[in-house]
Amino acid sequence: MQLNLRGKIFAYVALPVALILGGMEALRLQQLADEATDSTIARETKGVELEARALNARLREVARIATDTANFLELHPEIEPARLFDLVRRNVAADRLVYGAAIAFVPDASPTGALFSPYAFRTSGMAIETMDIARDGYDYTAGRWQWWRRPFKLGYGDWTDAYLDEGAGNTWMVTYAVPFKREGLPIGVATVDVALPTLRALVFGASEENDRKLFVVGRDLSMLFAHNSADIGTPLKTIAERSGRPDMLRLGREMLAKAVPDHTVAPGWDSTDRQWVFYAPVESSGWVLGSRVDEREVFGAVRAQVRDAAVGLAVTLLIIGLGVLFVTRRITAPLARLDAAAHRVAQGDLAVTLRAEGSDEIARLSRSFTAMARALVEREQALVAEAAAREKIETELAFAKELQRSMLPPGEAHDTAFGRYDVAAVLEPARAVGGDFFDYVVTQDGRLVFVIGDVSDKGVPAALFMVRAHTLLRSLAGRLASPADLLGRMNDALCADNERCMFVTFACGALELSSGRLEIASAGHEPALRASPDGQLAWLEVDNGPALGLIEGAPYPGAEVRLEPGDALVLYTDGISEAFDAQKRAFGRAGLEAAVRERAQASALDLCAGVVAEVRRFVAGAEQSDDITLLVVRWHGARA
Amino acid sequence: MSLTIDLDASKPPFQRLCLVGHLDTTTAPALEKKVDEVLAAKPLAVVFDLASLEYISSAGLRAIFRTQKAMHAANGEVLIVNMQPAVQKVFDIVKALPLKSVFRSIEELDDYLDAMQRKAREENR
Repeated sequence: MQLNLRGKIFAYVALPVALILGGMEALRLQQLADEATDSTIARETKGVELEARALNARLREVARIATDTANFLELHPEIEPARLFDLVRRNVAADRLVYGAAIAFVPDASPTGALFSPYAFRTSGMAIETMDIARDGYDYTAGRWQWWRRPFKLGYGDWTDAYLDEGAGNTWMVTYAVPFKREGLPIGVATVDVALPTLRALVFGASEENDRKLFVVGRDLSMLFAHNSADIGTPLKTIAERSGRPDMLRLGREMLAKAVPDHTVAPGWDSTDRQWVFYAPVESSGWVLGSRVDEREVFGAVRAQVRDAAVGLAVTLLIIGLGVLFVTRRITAPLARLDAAAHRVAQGDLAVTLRAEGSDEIARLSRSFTAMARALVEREQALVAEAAAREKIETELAFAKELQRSMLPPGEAHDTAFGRYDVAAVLEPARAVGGDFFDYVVTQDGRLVFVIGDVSDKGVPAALFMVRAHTLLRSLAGRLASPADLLGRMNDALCADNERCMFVTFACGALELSSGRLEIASAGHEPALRASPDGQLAWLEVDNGPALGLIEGAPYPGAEVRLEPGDALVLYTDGISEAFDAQKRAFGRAGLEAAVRERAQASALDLCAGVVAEVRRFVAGAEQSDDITLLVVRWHGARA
Repeated sequence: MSLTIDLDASKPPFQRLCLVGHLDTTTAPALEKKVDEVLAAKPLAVVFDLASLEYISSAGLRAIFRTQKAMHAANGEVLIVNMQPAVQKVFDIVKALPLKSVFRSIEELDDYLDAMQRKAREENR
């Protein structure tokens, strides 16, 4: 997956931090919740256990009354029947939990010799009344009363299941009944009754009972006590069927089977929430006491705590997220700007200014980028200016070249009147302007004077010196005595004010057109080549003087030769003899000789152009290293 | 096409410039600059050792003539030694070098320089 920088910071920094922090916090929350749950369970279990103990203790106290009475009767078998009424009255008065107390005799062993059962009970006005249950002939032994039968069957005291006492105003009761004996045989029972509805006020604190839905299940799986008073005495089976909750019955059995306090979770009996049922056995009676609590209620605090912590965690993570968002925005925004700027620069828009606050790496980068763009602008402007300057110089040079060329005579001249000579010349500067030059003129005394010169170095300085030399030549040529004389004069003039030692190699010939007599002098210049029409070549090695401009007062001897009609003279500068090819070989005098010999009979123009073409072919595209000048003079004789 | 200039100023009244490579339009300015430095020391003679100079153009000649002119003006001399044939030919054509300033070997040159130094001492006396 491709992530941008922001995504990466999120993925590599914020996400791990959030995961670690969130994980740790979640674990802590889980522990917190577990601990709170455990402690709540322990607290609730303890509570229900205490309630069971309290109930047990009260039941024991109440049972004690019956037990004491039984013991008493065994010790005092001859007690008057009338006193027995007092006894049961006292038994009722002994404990507020006691609703009624009775002593019932087997008819054979009764003081009256018949059914006899003194009984005391609380009236609705809380007074205590007494009566004989057997009065009106009621046979308590005939019924299926557990309080009568069970003690005989067991031989010791025990609690009955819940029963509805119609005589006592339809109140659900449990009775503790203890047998008493004479001569080893049970002769009756002593009982105490507890009205189940009174448990609410007398055993369980009323207020407490509101919060926790206490209930007590008897050994026969009937409800001995219930949050809903209407359920008191009802078999659990009935309630379960009524509620469509068979699990209630199972729960009851389970509860009764447990000898120690425990708890379970079940769908609420009277609530949509789940309910926790904490329960503990009531030992003496074999009952079990339970406490139903809505999960919401018992764990509400825990849940709230967890929820608060979770909200806190979420807020923390949100703050981290927002913080990272803010930071990455701070980091990536300048980068995005930089990116955009780079795109603009790439597209040629250099007018870029990046905002850069602070001194961090990105700010420095932004500043560097801005500086770079500035530098590019400056560079571009400089390039434009440079190009303009170069163009100007080139324009000037082109003009100078034109001007320089215009100083020289045409590259071709003929003796139109008599056909005695032809002159042809080619001059190609290595640069725009150069230091080579040639000239020719026919003097009034019938001589063709021609010169060739090569100023040291090349380019503009050479060109300027060439102009100086050429101007000097023109001023002196008209009063020419001899070539040697011209060279001497020019040398002296050029030596003056020549600090940089510019010099010019120079050759001058003066051809008497009527006779073919040629006077020639050279100032450090390459010798001229003489070519006869038959292809014979000869170098005119003249006694040389030094190049012009170097040694003041230097002598220039000069020489004299006589040309035959048809002879050609080839003068050149070292641009010809030192034209190099790609392998650095020079064209040389040999190359020139060959090129001239091949064109010994050609016209001056063709000879000139042909030699230059040979030179071109020879260098084959290699850079021209020096100015090239070739001057050809052909004498056709005194008259054609 | 480059030029290397080695200056040997170990014998103070003489400055020896050993030129290696090509002396042409592009390299001549460097030599001229070097020569200007050398001239500032006001030597009795400037020696150009051309043993390893392969090529010289008119611009190179000019640089040497310029040195010669400056030295003559200061009553000094420019001496040339170990000129190779190709270079010699160029000098010959231009013909502007006094014969006495060209030496074929270091020995000849050293003899001349010794004599020159002796003469200078005597003059100073």
